[in-house]
Amino acid sequence: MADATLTAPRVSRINWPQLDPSGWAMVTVTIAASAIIVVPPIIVLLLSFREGRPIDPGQAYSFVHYIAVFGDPFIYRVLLNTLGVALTTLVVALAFGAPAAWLVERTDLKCKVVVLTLMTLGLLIPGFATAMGWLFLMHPRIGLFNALAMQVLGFGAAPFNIASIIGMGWVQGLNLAPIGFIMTAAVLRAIDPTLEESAQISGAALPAITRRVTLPLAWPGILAAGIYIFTIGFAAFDVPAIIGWSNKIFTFSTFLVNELAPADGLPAYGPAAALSTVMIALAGGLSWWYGRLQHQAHRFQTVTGKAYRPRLIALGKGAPWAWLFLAVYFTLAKLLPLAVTVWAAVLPYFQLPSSEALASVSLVNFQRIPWDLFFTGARNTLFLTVATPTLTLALAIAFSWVALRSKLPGRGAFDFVAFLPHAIPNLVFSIGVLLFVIYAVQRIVPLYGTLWLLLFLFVIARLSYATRMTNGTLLQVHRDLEEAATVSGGASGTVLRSVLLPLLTPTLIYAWLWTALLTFRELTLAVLLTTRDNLTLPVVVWSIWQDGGFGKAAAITLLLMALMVPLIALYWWAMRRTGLREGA
Amino acid sequence: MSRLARMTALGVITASLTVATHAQAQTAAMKELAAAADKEGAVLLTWSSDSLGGAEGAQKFEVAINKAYGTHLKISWTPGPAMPNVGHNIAMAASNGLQSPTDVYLGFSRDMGTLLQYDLFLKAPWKEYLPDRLTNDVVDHATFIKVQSATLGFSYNKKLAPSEPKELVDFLKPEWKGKISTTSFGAGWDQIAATDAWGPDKAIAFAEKFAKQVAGFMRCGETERLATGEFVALATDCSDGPAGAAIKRGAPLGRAIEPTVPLVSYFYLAVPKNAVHPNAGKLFAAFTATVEGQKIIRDETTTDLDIFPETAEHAKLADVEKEAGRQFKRADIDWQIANKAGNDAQKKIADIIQHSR
Repeated sequence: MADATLTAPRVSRINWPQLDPSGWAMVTVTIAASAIIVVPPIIVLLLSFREGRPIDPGQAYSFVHYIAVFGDPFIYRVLLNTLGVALTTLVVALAFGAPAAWLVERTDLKCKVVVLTLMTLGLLIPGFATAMGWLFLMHPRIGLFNALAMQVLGFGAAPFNIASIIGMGWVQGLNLAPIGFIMTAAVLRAIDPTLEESAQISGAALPAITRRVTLPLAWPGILAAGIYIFTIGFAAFDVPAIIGWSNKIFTFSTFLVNELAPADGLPAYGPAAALSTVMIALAGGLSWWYGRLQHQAHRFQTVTGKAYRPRLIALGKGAPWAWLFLAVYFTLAKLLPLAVTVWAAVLPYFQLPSSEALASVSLVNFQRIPWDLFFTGARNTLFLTVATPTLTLALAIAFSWVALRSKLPGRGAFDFVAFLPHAIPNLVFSIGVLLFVIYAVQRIVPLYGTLWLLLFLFVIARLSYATRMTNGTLLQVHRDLEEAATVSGGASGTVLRSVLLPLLTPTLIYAWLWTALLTFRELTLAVLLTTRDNLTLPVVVWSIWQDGGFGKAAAITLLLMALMVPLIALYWWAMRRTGLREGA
Repeated sequence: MSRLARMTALGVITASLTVATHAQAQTAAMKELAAAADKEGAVLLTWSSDSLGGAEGAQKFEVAINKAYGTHLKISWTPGPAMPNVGHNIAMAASNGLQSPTDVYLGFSRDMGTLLQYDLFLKAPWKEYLPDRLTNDVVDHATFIKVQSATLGFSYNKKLAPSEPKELVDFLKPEWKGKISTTSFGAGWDQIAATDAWGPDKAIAFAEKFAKQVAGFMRCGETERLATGEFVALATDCSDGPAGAAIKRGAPLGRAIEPTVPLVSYFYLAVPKNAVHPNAGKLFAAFTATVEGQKIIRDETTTDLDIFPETAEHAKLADVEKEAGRQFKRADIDWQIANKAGNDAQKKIADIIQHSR
């Protein structure tokens, strides 16, 4: 017996954590969801090696697509362009979003709910309307700013060129500043005020406190926002499609669309999939970086069982400057695109402002709206707008809890999995899901062409954002609180319900509303999977706009925004209720 | 013949054909098809919103078809992606035993040529349905129904054009540099490079010079970008439909057919084998060949099928052919498949255009 014990091969033992049924339920849900999430990227990977198209049977596997894509010097220009756009986007989005978040969360700025609501409203203006608006302002040939600069200020040539890499990043950055805002706001809100107060008592001035206390504490949240914005900027489609193409600047997404949705010839999935592996590699790198920060999470835990009431900094004489900053942002990012959308909606065809254009103003675009489609799209979109954030957040809580609170072996991998959908371009991810459903799921569950398919896709795709939010906040909740509850006999479910959820509530409300808003305007994910039964409003708008109906598309966009009023009102109410003290 | 006289003659022909068609008894095959379609009760259409009038076109077809055949069909249109993508989706659905996303597929002759190998569409005794209209000139491979003609040409802003472009070579003039847009995939270059037109070598040599004149890319439907002056011309465009629709809305655009490429190509309809309502799909496709069907298409898109004598395209092409002093060749599906030199050259030209700085 003893001999047998001595000669037995060494088996590495996995230390399974002691979990109660609630804990195991969250682990099971997380594992099941992870298994589903990794399938589309695997399909994309397989496509990158498979010669021919999915509809061509019996094709061989090889590196032919990789050789074709990466052997073409043009692709490196495309990637360089994309990197430039993504970095500019990141800088612009954080330059506007983070200070705005600081003003709202950490200062005594008045009318904060108005600021929050305007930030939210901006997201509803479609990216193509914003891009078109900026073309009319800063295009070298037709831009109003350029015309003014040349006619009034005497410039010999147009000083601005929006049709450039910096120009695209500027527009995309303005569009994404609300995401930078919302992600950093949640972190700033949770910072322990006693640390800043201690610094102040020690004689530190506001800039020093911000630099040496606030920013280091907010760093994980800002980094998360940065990673998130960078990847959106990398894969963004509508702004590069409208502004970039007009100057022969291809980015990753426009190149992909050229391959995947050609106006001529069948889609070339192989080369697109091969190129997409770059994104998957990038996602891996970013996730690894983010994971390393999580390992040092204790440095950032600021919400303890002690006093938790963010201290507000008095702006004093700086208040007008704060408002000027916000006014500049809102004018550039919201008012101008909104004005362009309204202007387009009342014109038979788009024209620059003139007396001739004014004479042709009418409501004809509203009269010609395809109302059947509008109501079908509105019904489907509203269902998705409510169901997607609810399911996404339930999943996100499970993922974050497993990754950060359970002692499950390899739990860090779940966070990587949750980030994957965000890092893979939406278009490519949609194709992965489409093929997965058609070739594998459909025979078991008839999902193809249903609203459930979109719900499934949207939940997976939004999980990255939701887990960034829940992770960020969970990192700041000290384990002492849960341990105290556990020692008192609380099961995982009870601890989650009684301790974590109340602390997470402000973040969850933010995340729910933002996921709802992002779902409401989601286009790229839906466009390849939409059929007559699961049509969404943004797909209707995009389709009409793409075929030359800018006016009609603008008219539907305005109605779409009007439909959002209840959600905006809910947002307003939630913000007031969850701690934004008006004028405090 | 003056324009007014020509339009009057066209109106008379249309009116008399309309009366004749109404008076003409439906064939037994058509009655049978209409009855089968009526049982199915609906037609599901998926294509882009500027194709065949999108939602408004579907509504008009519903009224006209139900009136003509005494059916009770509900015709629903859903916006879809580009034609090749819809075709690909039909193929993927078919290979997995799923229903097609559309009862009728609308594609360009090149798309149909590519999809022919997958045997996705139903054959039908089309001629028995409409003996005078669905002739061998209109139906290819007993499967594909020609629905609209497409001529190769270019669209431009008449107010901002530095000079009136008559043919493609005009765009090489210095005054056009930086004012032209084109499609990134090289729309129409397969036809320019065909041996029936310029041939591949001349087309590629021209494309090298042309690419340097091009300021950027746009899609064929984005005529608003021409109207605003962001670009002054789109060369070449996909057909005369988008510019025609914009002109109808009052945009200051012009459109010209390229006289040195004497080709007319076609948009086709076909009914997928995996269509949800195959008979209703066939009825819809057949109806587009009637005088009423062509009128709806013309009213909605400003183009129709040149093969029918009463159509606007027929008259327009007659003028162009007269001016050019030769008859244009009809580039159908078989022509597209046989145009290997042009198809290969188009890929090279798309690369030249995309990669030029």
